[in-house]
Amino acid sequence: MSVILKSYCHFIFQIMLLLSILFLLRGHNYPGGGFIAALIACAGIGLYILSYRKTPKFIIRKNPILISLGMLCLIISMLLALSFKHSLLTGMWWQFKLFGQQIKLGTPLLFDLGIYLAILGSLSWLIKELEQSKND
Amino acid sequence: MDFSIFLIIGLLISGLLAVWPTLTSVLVSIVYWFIVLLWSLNLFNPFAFNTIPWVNLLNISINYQIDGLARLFALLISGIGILVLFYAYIYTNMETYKRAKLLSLLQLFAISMLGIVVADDMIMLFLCWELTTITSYLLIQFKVQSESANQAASNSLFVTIIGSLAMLAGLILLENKSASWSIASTINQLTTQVSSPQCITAFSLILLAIITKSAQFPFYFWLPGAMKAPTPVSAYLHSATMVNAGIYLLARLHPLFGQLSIWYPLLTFFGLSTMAISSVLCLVQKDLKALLAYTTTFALGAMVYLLGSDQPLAIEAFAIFFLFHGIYKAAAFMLVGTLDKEYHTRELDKLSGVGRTNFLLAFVLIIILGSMAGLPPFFGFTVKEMIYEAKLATPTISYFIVGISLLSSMLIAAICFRCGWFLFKAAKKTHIKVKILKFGLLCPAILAGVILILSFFEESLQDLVQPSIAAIVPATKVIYVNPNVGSSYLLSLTTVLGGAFLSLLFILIKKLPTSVPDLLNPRLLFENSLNYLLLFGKQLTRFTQEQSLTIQLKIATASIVIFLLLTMIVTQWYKLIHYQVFSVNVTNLPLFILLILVAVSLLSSYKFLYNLISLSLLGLATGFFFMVNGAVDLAMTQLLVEVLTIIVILIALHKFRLINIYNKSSISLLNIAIAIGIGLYTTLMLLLVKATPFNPELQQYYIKNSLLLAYGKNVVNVILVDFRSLDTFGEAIVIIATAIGIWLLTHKSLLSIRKKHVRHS
Repeated sequence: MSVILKSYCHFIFQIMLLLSILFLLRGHNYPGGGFIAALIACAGIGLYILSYRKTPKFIIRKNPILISLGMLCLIISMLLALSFKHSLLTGMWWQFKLFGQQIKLGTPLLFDLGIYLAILGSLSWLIKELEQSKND
Repeated sequence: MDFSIFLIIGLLISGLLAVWPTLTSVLVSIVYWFIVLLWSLNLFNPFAFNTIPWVNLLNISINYQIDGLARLFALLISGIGILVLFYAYIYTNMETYKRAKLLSLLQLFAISMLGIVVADDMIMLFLCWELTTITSYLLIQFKVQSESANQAASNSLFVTIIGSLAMLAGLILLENKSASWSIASTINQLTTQVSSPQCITAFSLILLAIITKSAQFPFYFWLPGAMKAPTPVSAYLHSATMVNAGIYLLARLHPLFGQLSIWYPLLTFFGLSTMAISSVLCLVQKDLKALLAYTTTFALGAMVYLLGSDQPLAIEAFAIFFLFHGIYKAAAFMLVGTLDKEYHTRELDKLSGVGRTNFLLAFVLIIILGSMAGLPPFFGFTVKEMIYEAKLATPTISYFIVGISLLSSMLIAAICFRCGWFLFKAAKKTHIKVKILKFGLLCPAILAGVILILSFFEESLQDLVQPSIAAIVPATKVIYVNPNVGSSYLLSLTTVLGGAFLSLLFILIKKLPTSVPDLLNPRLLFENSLNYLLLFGKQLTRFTQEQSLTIQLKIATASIVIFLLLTMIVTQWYKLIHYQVFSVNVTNLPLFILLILVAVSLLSSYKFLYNLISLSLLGLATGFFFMVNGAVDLAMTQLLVEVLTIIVILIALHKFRLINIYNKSSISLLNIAIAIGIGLYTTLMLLLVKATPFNPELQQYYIKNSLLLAYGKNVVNVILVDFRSLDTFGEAIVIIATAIGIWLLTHKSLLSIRKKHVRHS
């Protein structure tokens, strides 16, 4: 790989991860969301692998754990509505004030986080496996 | 107690037997079936039969129809069930795992059987029916290692599943016609329009289910094959239950389809041909269990033949024969099982002289064989006489039909006499040791005692079956009386005497043929056609999928084009399109030109990397197109997917050092044709979509309620994570499954371990 890509890649990689978190959080009101955010992060990881020929350690040591965390978020957000005697997957919202700011939290946010984690885990797993597979 | 709860308790007992296969659990199960027995005899009525809504949208509910017919079948299921559970406990001495499997499956099977006979809802009936199919499959292939047991089990599974799928179609047709899933109300509503083509189609589909499930000609072969099952299973499956499910449905639908003019000839044909063939095949069997299996198909044929009549006399004969056959056949199977356990053989020759070893055994043997043959002191004689009387009392009787049934009954009687002669003759070489048959003889002895009691108290049996007759034929039927008084008695006597004569002949001939020509064996036909089907599938897969990816894609795309264009021509939907020159938005024009340019550049190079970049440029241009038209989220996703695809492919290419390869496949005329075809088809489809009027209701709902209900300004995201989150959940699962698939693919060692495992087993 080219020297230019190598020297800039670390920087770009971090920016993309930050960007993906930003897109995850703003998703409900502006363009973005869990799926798109996960794709951005995966693109960053892919770029990292392409330039350094190794996987970034701190994020995808154990992809199945990431996936299961995502599934856990999804299932909790699904079942929470049941405990309030609504039908499955009904969006539940709670509003409260923090430092004078009106803050809304709801199960769709948790759902979006679950999607983010599950997709990030699977796609980065896929990339990692392709990279690590034996050449034969 | 609600009956549904009672059924669930039965399922729990099955679980209990699976976990603790002890005598206590068996006793719990026996108490359970004893309650059912008392209920079916109308001595004890603890149940409330409430309707429970199940799938409201489709009007499916759990509801019951309790009448004489249901009680009659429940009587046999529970009565034989008690003995069989106890017998199975004795039969599998000490092998805990096998005992647990056998007992819990038997209990599950009996519950599903009970479900069939009490169900009024057709879907509930179908589910229980399928549950019996599955549990009987598991029971038949009980000895998993045995190749022949597996083959027999899959034969029975395939045959009965063909029938039950047909039955599902038939039941749905009936529901369409009557708008109710309830059997009782369907019968009430359709009585006047039973000869409509829809009803006749439904009838033929359901009849297919009945003849497969009840092992009628030409599907009788699975039942003797099912003899690979452990003996308690055979005793239960082939006497009291599984095979009688078809008979039950036949009796249940008798009030409706009995009015069809094809009902009598069809049932007479199936019943008689089954009787005739199984009596002939029975003759050449040496294995006692196979012999019993063929007498069972004979009896089933006789029941179908009896149900092909609307005379109360015939139905009464059916009900009594059904009960009686269940009792003596279960006893016979259990006896054979006990003999097999003790002497390790089921061959008739090797068991000669067994009857002389034990007094109780001799007693049971005489009663069972006597009832099967229809000897005068036993109840079997009365039953035979009733059957003849019932048939003679049918207006459309012909001498041919009576002749065939007489001959096949004679053959069966002869076989019974011959068995008796073998089992009681003084063996020359006494390899039969005197053994004390312990508990194994208890259950058959109880049943033999029941037969003996019934022989003296026939009237009580008549009272028992009266309600079930009322459930099958309405009381207002015109009763036809047989003009020749006493002829049925003569016929029964002829059967016994002729049987005795024939058996003498068989014994004198000594060497009976031991196999039948393959022509008479539809099993081979069935297995061969199944094998050819598998072979065809394998060849087709090899042709379409085991070649290079390029060819595979070509075949897939070409078949899509061909079939879709064919449907387009047949249904002529292209006429719906308005072929107007639609205006192009000027801002989009540069993007169009870019798209075309990129497409041309894609075709102009043979270098793989270059092609890849052009392809992703195409995707990016499409993404810009979305962006310009306001679908920002879509555009973002499209762009990211393109980027990610490129990265993944690059990693793969780099990994396998394929980055500088050339795409050598030339552009052939065929490829061009396929490409143009799929492009044309997609364009036409899109035009069709534009031609159908757009319903903005859903769109408006989402836009209006996105902020109000879901507190989100981004409608696309709100749809993804709130309005339609179940879809998103499913998509996430697809992606996770893909990742797991890739992981499996890259870990070849895992796959090879599995392959080795498969090869060894």
